[in-house]
Amino acid sequence: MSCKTARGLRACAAALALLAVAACQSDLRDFSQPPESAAKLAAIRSRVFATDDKRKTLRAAIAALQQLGFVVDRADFAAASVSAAKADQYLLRLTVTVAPASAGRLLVRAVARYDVTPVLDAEPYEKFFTTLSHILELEAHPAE
Amino acid sequence: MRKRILAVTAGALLSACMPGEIPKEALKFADETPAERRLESRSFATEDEAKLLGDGAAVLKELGFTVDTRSDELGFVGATKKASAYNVGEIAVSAATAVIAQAAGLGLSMPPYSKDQSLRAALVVTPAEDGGGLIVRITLQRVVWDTEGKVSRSELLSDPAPYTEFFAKLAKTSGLDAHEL
Repeated sequence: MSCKTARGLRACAAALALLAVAACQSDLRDFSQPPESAAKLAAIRSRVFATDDKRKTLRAAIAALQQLGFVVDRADFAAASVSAAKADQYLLRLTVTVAPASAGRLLVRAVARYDVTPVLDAEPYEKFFTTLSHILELEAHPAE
Repeated sequence: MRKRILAVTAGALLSACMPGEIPKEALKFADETPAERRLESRSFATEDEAKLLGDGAAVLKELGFTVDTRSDELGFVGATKKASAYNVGEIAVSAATAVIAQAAGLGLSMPPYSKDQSLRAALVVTPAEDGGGLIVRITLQRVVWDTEGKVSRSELLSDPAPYTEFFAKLAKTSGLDAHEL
């Protein structure tokens, strides 16, 4: 192959690589093993507590978020929801909602996102529910 | 030769299209330390939660914050204060990098540098666990955005000065002593 052809190919390769960098989206992905089904993901994100005290549960959620290094920026009693960003990772947000499950029981649902990417890894949810359970002094039961 | 160039090009194309990954450390939730809790909290000998929350909101306003949200039911006030994050030293380094890059023929533009910052306050009032009085906890977070609009820094304020100032003002406004935990 002539020197001229090789130079031309190199220039084309560089141009293509630059185009690729510019064209491709750079959104984030959670590379942890995705749950097998939507039901499994919902199970990772939810727990049931044997209480019907919505106020106490939401306050405990705020305390749990603070304990885990989050800065709460939204708390709405009517919507039964609190939301917080991690202090040292601003793009990581955890939103907690509380809803009646059955008589005398509440369903607590946590959804974590990094920027716009949903967090699928079970570990951060497990840690949050363990902390919440400790503060509420109630066992966290899997959601049915 | 041709194959190698094509392989390198294909590799570049593939790697460019691979999305980024959520930083592992972002998903590690470490428990707070007792020192952090002490820094951010004080106890007050009162049962009037709504008044103490209102006094806290008033102090935040006095300190230049805008109260964004308040929930008396949940004992919560969220507030923010925006400011410039321009730093002469950082801009100088950025400009020098651009000049050196131009001189080296790399043709790079000026790297991004800190532009805006937001101080975020989360104020939470809860009954003390022993049943006497109220605990006020304030968490202060600093978020910095660069000239490209990306978050360049996010941190919990660990300097005791702003916490001490807030609690001193809250004690004065509420007419109550602020006790360290």
